[in-house]
Amino acid sequence: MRRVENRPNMGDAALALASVAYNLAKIPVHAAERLPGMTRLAADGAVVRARARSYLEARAEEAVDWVLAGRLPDAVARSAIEHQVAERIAAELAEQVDLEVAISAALDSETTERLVHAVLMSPAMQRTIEYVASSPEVRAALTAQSSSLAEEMVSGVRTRAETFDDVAERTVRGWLRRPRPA
Amino acid sequence: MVATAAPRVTSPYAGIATRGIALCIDAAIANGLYIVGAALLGLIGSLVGDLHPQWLVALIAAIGWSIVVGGYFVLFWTTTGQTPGMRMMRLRVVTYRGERVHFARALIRLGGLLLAIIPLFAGFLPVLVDERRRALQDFLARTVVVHFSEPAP
Repeated sequence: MRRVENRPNMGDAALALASVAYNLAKIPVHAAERLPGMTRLAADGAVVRARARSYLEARAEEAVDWVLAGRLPDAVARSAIEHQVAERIAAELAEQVDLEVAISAALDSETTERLVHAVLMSPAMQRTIEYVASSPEVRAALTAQSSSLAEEMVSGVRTRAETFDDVAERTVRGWLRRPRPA
Repeated sequence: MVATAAPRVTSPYAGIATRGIALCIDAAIANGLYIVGAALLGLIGSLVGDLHPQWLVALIAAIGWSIVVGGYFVLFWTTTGQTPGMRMMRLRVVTYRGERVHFARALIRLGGLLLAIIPLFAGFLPVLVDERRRALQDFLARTVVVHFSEPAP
């Protein structure tokens, strides 16, 4: 075991040699920096770099546009649906994260309470509530519900009264021994 | 002659409970109208002073009550054949022939209704034994009270 630990690491040695080579290579570069006219040459190089970057960005944009215009995005979306990628991701998330705890923590936080209060008190929310409360659809629904409730109640009274009509008549006719003719 | 003729009415006749509930609703509405109207008139009258003597006030009130309550029943019986209470209970008053009740017959029926109420509503007891479930006012005015399933036009 000890013998193994004492063996030199050839990877580290190669890294050390590369570092030495890099430092040696920098010597002529530093020397070249001090040559006359090097500043102007560097400025020209920066312009060339900017032009090259602009050219490459334009080509990349064209390539992305070409890819998106083709059938590839449709195929990707179809494949994602077929292989239930979204469901798998959701299942993985559900396994990794305790959603109930996370949601409870989010709901219990003071920030959430403050945000909800701010939203409820906002003029936009007040206008929304006023709009919804005064909308003809909501009023019609409330009226229909109220009238159907009243109609239901009256219908119940009517049914019970008619039942009582028959019971009362049968009872009295029973006392008088006068059955109702068929 | 008409009383003995077979009724054309095909709907089942209304019984004592259904008619009683309808009458209670009508009594509440008619008396409510009278109370509100009398209160408004009294309020306006108070601007010019109290009315004297007291018996005159009572007489006017009684006449007013008779007109409002009597008019309520007669008006609805002769126009639609059903008071609001009867409409709520899906009832209608018609003649033996199934026709609408006219003014004179409605007045007779109103008198019969009062007569049926005075002896502790004993005038309604025939409903329990009569084949067409007629009360005293129905015998006098030759009418019947029937159920209807469709709202009146």
